[in-house]
Amino acid sequence: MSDVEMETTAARKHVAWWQFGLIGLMIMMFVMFAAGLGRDSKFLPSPLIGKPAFNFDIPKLGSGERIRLRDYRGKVVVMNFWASWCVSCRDEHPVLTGDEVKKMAALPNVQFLGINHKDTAANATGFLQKMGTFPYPSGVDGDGRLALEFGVYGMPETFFINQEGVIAAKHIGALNLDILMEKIKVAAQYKAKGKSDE
Amino acid sequence: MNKRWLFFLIFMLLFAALTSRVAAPLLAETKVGAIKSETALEKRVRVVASKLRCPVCQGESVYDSHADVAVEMKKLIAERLTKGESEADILGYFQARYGNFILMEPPAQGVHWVIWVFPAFLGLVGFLFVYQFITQTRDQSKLAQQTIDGETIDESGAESDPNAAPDVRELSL
Repeated sequence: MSDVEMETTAARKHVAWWQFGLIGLMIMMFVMFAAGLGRDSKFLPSPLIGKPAFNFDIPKLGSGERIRLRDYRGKVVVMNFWASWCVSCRDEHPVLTGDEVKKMAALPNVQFLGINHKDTAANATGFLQKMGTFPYPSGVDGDGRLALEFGVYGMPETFFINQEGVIAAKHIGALNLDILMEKIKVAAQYKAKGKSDE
Repeated sequence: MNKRWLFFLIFMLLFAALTSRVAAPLLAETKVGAIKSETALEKRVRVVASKLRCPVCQGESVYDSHADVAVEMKKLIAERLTKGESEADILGYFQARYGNFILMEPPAQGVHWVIWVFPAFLGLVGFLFVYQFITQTRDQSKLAQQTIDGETIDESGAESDPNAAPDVRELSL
């Protein structure tokens, strides 16, 4: 074997390891991207989970009263963002106005709250009259600032806040009874490191 | 010739990298440069809003979007800038509530480093494969050339060797 032939063979052996490594890395990256593509696009992890919920103080829909989150300390709070113009809100409306939720809303350690988002009072009350009234109060987020505080992407979204005022879970999209009961349990058992800011 | 190819490939990689990092912001600047009547505050709002992703439209920045939520976000940015908050403070405010997703350019940390490294990695893979192809071609051509040269040397050596036996045909003349 000539010198050149030996050099060529050595070079081939030399490149084999990095070729193998690069192909391996490429496969790994494509698998990561494929896994990402297969994920539910609605699932966006909220950085607010485990953080104290923003202590809002907003007007109550249909009255001059105020709704303050800190008034519900010691209870699991189910906070549902809704709007009369939201199509998916119509899908979950029968669940939120149903008998099961009526029973849960009557429990002393659970508080349901509606947050009417970027709506007019007339449209919101008209929607409730037509579709059925919630068995719990709704606050008004007319300018949408509260939704920004909670990192809301779109309607409907529901937050589950534990007894200490810490956000324990979140659901994007229309609720069903199974999801609702599961997340209330999660919030009731949630132990967070942080505490709500007073 | 091989060196020329290598220089060309390196140049193309650098050009691609510079195009994405330098030309894109310049083009964006040209696009909004048409807004002559922009106040100082509006300009600052534009800078911050361009770095945030519209939560409902996702493909657009908050600055480009006309969605209700984007409009409200621009108002909030203006209010916070007026109060004296910095661009980093405002981006941090939204990042704390929406996560890294809200940033048009996710930070190169954690899993997000893959987004930044992958294009350069692909370029490197392409470059190395082309380099290997060129090197192999060069080695093969060297080997082939040496074989041809060896045969030539043998033939010419036989002809030019002073100690070689005289051609019988010459003697017969």
